[in-house]
Amino acid sequence: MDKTQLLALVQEKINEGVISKEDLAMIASSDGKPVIQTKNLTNIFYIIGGIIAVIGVVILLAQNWTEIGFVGRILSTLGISIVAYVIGFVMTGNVHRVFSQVFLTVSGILAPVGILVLYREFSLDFNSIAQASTAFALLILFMVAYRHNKRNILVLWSMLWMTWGYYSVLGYFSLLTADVAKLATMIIGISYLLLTYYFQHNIQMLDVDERKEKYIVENILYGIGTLLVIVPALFFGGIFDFITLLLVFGAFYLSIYVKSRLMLVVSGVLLISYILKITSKYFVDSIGWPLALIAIGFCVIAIGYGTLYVSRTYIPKAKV
Amino acid sequence: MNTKHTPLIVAIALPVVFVIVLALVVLIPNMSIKPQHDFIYISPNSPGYANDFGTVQYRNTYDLKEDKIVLKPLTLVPTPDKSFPVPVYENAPTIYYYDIEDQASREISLEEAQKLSLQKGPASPDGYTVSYDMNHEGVFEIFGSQDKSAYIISKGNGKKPLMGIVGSDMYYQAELNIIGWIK
Repeated sequence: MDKTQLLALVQEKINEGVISKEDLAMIASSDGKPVIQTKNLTNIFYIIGGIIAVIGVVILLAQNWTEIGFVGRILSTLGISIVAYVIGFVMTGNVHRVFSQVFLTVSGILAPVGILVLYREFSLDFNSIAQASTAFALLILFMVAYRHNKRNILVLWSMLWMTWGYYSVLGYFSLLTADVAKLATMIIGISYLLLTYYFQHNIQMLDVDERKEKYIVENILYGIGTLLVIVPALFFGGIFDFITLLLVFGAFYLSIYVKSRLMLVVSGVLLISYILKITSKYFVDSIGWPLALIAIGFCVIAIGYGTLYVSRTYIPKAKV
Repeated sequence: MNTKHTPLIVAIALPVVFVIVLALVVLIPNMSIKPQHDFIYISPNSPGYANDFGTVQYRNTYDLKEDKIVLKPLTLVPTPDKSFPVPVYENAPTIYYYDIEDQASREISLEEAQKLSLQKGPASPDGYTVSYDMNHEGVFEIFGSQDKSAYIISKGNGKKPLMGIVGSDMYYQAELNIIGWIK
């Protein structure tokens, strides 16, 4: 095997995710120890810088709300948000991956604050319709940015804006009674799972780091989606006491199907919650709390072990 | 058939269809709510009850005799001891005329009210009733729930909020004291 063939093989294995760039860097270093990558250090600085900037804006607004005046209030919120969005938008390419996403996150945090400030400055009511308009406008802006540079963080933000807009529309029509809110949450949870499935299977990332990020985002969204579907069902009662059990086991199966460990763990936690609820509701009066707690304790151990077993057996370690 | 985009389409369509169906189920009965009769009432925050040791006590309240408003004397209850504030006595609570079309209240005198031909409630001549609706908004108390409450006029499954009721911004709400519906 000559050098060209060897490099081609290495490249292929990198693309498959069998070996990472860090592995190569470790081999290349003289003592065989992992190298501290300046890139990672820089990325940490980007993230810390982003957090400090947002905290700075919050303190600025809290301490100097009246002193900075109308222009100051708008510039420090909406102004920074717009600038951060533009920077995050134009910084394409893998080399700016974290830098761009930190700026887009800063923009995402400050955008609704800025718009709220703007409404207050003009003494307008930030009511349901205003919130829905804001949420959907932000959804469009962040989807445009996603189409432009495929940053994974934008998927999380877009989901957040979509959810905000959805609840605002329901609020606008005064539809959010307690039961409707539960049903509405289950519906948006199903949407989360479907969108994540689509994202998982139809969006391809070329870079290993981006694929790792995408895998994390998928896991987070599958976890949130599972919570959104099953937690409201837990609160319903009646026939939903049975439906919830089906949903929990459905989530276990789905977690294996979509290979999401977080979804599996969330399903395990929800099964424990379900057992606690059902025991306290139906069995405590007959068997008493001490026996119920013993039974629950062993159930929790069994679920924990089962989850670990399923995770190790059916969900391979993140293959990105 | 290309099923690649099916999850995306279903994911977007599901909440949209849910909102539309819910809006139709809830809003269609409300569209038939068209009350025709005005009414007169006393403000829900009128401290006009004889056993209510507020700052104001009324000597009279209102009642209907035939279809006309009349004053009905109240039995004044003395304060139990000196630790209670001395009440201020007034003749009768203020009467408000509620215009159902304009959704606005205006103050009227007893003399003006006596010229009106009234029907005793709770239901209006066309079958509407007014109640206080506590509508709990929020999702499991996590995202910040709120009690959106208002006086509503309803008939059957349909209901509509009543704007412009004097005293409806109070923290504690009581049933609206409607003296009578204008025939």
